[in-house]
Amino acid sequence: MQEDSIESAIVNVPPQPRITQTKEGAVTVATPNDQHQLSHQKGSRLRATKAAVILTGSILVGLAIWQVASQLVGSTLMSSPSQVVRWASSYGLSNIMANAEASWRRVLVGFLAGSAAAIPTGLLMGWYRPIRTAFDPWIQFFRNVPALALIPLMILLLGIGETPKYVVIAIAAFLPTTVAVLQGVMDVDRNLINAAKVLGAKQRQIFRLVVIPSASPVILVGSRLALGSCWGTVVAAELISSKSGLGYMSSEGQLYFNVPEIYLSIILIGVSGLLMDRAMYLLQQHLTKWQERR
Amino acid sequence: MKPPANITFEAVTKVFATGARVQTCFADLSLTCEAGAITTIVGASGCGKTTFLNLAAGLIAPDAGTVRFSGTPITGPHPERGVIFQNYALFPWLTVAENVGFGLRIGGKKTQERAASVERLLNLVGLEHVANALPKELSGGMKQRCALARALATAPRALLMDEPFGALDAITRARLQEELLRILDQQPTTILFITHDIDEAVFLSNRVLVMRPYPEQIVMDVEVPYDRNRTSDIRTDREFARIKKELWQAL
Ligand SMILES: Nc1ncnc2c1ncn2[C@@H]1O[C@H](COP(=O)(O)OP(=O)(O)O)[C@@H](O)[C@H]1O
Ligand SMILES: [Mg+2]
Repeated sequence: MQEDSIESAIVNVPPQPRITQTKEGAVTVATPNDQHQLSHQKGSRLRATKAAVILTGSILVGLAIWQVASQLVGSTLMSSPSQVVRWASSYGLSNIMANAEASWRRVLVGFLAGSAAAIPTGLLMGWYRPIRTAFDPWIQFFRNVPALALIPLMILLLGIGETPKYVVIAIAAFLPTTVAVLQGVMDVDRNLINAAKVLGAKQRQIFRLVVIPSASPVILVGSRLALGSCWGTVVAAELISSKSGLGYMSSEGQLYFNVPEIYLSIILIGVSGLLMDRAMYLLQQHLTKWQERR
Repeated sequence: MKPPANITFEAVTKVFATGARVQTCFADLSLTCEAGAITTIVGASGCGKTTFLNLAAGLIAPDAGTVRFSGTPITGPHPERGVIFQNYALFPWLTVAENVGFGLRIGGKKTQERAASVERLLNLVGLEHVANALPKELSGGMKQRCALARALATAPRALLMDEPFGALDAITRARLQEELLRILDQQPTTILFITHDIDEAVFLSNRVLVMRPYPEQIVMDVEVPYDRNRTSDIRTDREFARIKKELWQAL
């Protein structure tokens, strides 16, 4: 192909050796291509190392300030990091893990159940106007009722076991995910649908091969928001009624005036939420590699 | 492979109603795109070129009259009438090879069955070296080649091209025009080509129609005397210049 032979000719110009002096003063000899790649690699590695150093420093400085501040204040209400660590080791890793596990399990079960219901609902709402018209007022209404507000009712309806927690968390996942799926389907580029049609695609094939992949980036953004909302909901549900979980640790700490336990639960809640969000973010990046990014 | 077939517009009327405003796009328009020929429509934007092509594609239906393909009324899109869109409309989540194989996949061909056809088409349009690249990694010219290969995969008897090279730079556009003629030699089809570039229209076509907004519709119909083995040399011909001038006056 002529155009491409030109394009590749530009890339494949006979490499001209070039002698350069880097900022650090080292003299390097490299072909333009090599040099470009090398400095690019070196640059990004350097940047990563720098970021890691700053990050570690930031965490250490933060902990130090906390430690000093708690000693200065000297209040029983402000545990120091060392007190928290001491209390955590006396409480035992297995107990801590059991609570963390309880919260994670509730979130994952509720999130998966809620998403499993939301994806078909959003797809159908996006694809069929009558379904959208019928469901939309309900989705809009419940979107404005925080899932937390349903906890008391769910406890009355479903008892104090795990079921009401799963249900509330599933609702917390269902609403943002449904809205995202709906948005994703409605935003599908008409041109792509037409491109599939003229290649012979029927409704089902268009739906499976065009609508779903095209909507997936928006759906994944919605899932990430939903997971955040689930995490907030589980902690609150555990504060209100539970005998396990990270939220429960916090309320137990309050009940027995065990201040380090409250601090520990706050840290674990933050770290858990962060890990979930990062995992979701990485999944999102992986699944939407094909997208043009600015 | 089925032979190319003609596209016939018989007293076609198309109106658009936007709110209270009713706008006639065509009324009682009759026209035939000959089988195996390249018929080009030139016109300023908004004169109805895309609407005309969408009627032939079966993506929209006429309000009156009939559009026929090979004598049979068109009722909807069909892979025997391939379409090339101005903005490429490649599936961004599929690789070049997967995009090219899309129509065959829709037609029920398994991955292995598709492989040979896809490879042949990638070679035909010169994209074999980027078979596994994603559309976002391609230049505009390469994207349009990919779209062309995708449309050719289902062995269409007609190819409808809506300003396919409109977004490309002049050099790439000229190359792709020559390339298109060479590819059509290998896989003959009826072409309905839409453009707003007069040079492109004359270079590619057997026949050029000048379209103006309703009520004028088709204001000129010119036969281009060159055969299919034309090269860019004709662009500097006296005759070429004469036809271009004639078309300019009609626009
Ligand atoms: N779906 C539509 N609804 C309303 N008006 C339309 C629609 N499609 C096209 N038109 C109108 O029809 C006319 C011709 O449009 P189009 O065929 O896209 O022109 P061209 O491709 O020549 O630029 C324009 O005035 C446009 O506003
Ligand atoms: Mg147009």
